[in-house]
Amino acid sequence: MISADRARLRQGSYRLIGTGFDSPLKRGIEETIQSVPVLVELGLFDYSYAISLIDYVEQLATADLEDLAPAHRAMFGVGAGVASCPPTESAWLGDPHSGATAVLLSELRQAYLSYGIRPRHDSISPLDHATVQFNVMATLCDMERERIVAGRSTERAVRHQADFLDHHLGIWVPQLSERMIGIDRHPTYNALALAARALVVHDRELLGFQAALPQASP
Amino acid sequence: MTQTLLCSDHQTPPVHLDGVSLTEGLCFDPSAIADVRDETQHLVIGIHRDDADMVRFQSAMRRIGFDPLGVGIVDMTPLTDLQALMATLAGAVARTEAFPGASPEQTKLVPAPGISRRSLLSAMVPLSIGAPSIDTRTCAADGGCRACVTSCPVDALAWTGGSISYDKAACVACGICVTTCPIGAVVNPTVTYAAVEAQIAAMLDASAASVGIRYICRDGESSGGPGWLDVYVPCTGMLSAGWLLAPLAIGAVATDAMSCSESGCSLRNDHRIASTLTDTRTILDALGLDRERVGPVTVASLTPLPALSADGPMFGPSMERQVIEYLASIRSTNTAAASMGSAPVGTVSIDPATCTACALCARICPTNALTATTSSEVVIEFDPRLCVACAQCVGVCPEIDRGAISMSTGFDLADWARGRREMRRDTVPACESCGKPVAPSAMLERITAMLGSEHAATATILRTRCLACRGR
Repeated sequence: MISADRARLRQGSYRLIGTGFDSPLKRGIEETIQSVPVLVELGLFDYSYAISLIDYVEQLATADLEDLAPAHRAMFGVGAGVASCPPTESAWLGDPHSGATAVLLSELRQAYLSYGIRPRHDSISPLDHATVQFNVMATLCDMERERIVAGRSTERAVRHQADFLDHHLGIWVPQLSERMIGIDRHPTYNALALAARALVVHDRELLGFQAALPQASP
Repeated sequence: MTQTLLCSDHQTPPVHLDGVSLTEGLCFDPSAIADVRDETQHLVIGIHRDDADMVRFQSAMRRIGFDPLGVGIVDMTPLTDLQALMATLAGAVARTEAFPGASPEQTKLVPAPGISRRSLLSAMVPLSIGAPSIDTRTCAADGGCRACVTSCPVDALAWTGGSISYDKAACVACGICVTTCPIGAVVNPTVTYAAVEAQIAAMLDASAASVGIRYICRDGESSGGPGWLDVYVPCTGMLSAGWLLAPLAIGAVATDAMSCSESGCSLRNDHRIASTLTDTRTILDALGLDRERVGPVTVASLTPLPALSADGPMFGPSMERQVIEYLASIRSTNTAAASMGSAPVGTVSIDPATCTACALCARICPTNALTATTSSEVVIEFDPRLCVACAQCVGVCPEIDRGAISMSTGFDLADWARGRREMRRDTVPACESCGKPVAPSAMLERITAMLGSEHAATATILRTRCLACRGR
């Protein structure tokens, strides 16, 4: 496996999981299923999160969209009658009544800018939403891939990924995952929870592992 | 259903077991494991260690939906004897079937063996191994326990504010924290008590002749000789005397553990292994059993110990007590006693003259060997059967310099038979203001003495008022 392939694999994995937290749409589901052979070709099975990711896609492929949409609303929606499982970082790492959400969103905006990213967001998917954050990681992986292809140093891109996992995604996604599994609303979302946690936990360790390796001299 | 795939290279002896398939060239082409049957729930693979690329094997396992940590891997290179091969496979099947599943946090990435300078230029694919995780629901760190922290040889664990933090990057997954935890709150899914016991029991069941059980580490290669069967653990430094005694209790005729110098491992835990072997022999001596069963002996000359029906599993957290009691029942003895160097069995002594009855020792005790009840009196009790000699009670005692508490490592069956006993009793005066308990009298006297006559007024307040009423 070459490094560019690994960056592309990680990019695709983050994109796939990020889409899962978005409202389920037929086209999105089809694209997710179609992306798997590409990820496999890129070496997905070399990494321990592969089983969870494949299990999620298999669940997604057999799920009925008419069941999935209400399950998504009940898991992640806002209002009466929905489970308390918001897929937003501020719900897990900040007290919404103390103004911490605003501080967190400001920090995130700063972090994205420092990475050179200006992610699309709206009231449904704010800057701290899982979909946005998984897509930020995907973009950072893509930046790494571009630099590998161009023969430039990837140190900065990898440092940004580690920083984002250590301070954001890697901290709150395991907590979100545990809650989602505890709520047990739909097998597809249980599988998504496991896959998201497996990817984030594995990738955080992989970046540390890579950093600890002796670097080859030119 | 469990399927076993064996590489048939290197003249594998013909094996006659249900679910076993021989596959030519399996070591060189792991894609052959894609042929496992649909109904297969567990997988055991027999390979020749030097021929196989484990990274490719792990990838192939994931491709067919198996977590590599839950697949039994048997190194067939040393297994030229059919009996040994059959018993080893039976053990691998049992251990694999007892695999509890691993969470993402219980997987650790390590470099694959054979890193070349060229491979550094490409993306290196790491190997996954089992790593410990701490079950926060059962962990006693909130009471102050830090047995795992003090045992960790690489400082990967730390106690902070009543919980244990774990640095996976620093961890070498040796398993010492797993066996040190007195309540089984530290779990490595690849080396659970239940799985190891199932493996050894299956190996013994499948063996027609007497066999010895030899623990070997993940870097080790079999060298036990005829009659010895290998049980892999992450590091033999994790073993305590109970681990070596338990195989004898369930039918092995001898027991041994590979040293780091034998395996060439850099963890350098030889002192731990030597100490455990010595403790195991000391226990056997005390029980009147043959100490020569421990270490590299000729297995054929030995017969198993008489078998009694055990109350439950032999392997488990703080397993020494149950194994010692079982072996003692074989000898029909209830008076054996021994002092040891490091075995996790111990006895606590409290000096009533210097103990202030603060009961911190009872609060930190993870096994409830020491307990305290407080009302108008504080009563500290001790049950030596539950003591695992972790010495945390000694470490936490504020009067340790005056010798208020001490601990000795060893066991005394007669003392165990006495059960729980009172170690310290003291009165607790009531608060003059609210009537709630203030503190044990001995503690108040000690504080008064330390304050001296200069602070007599303060001492009076401390003696007569509880913490909540002192400022009023």
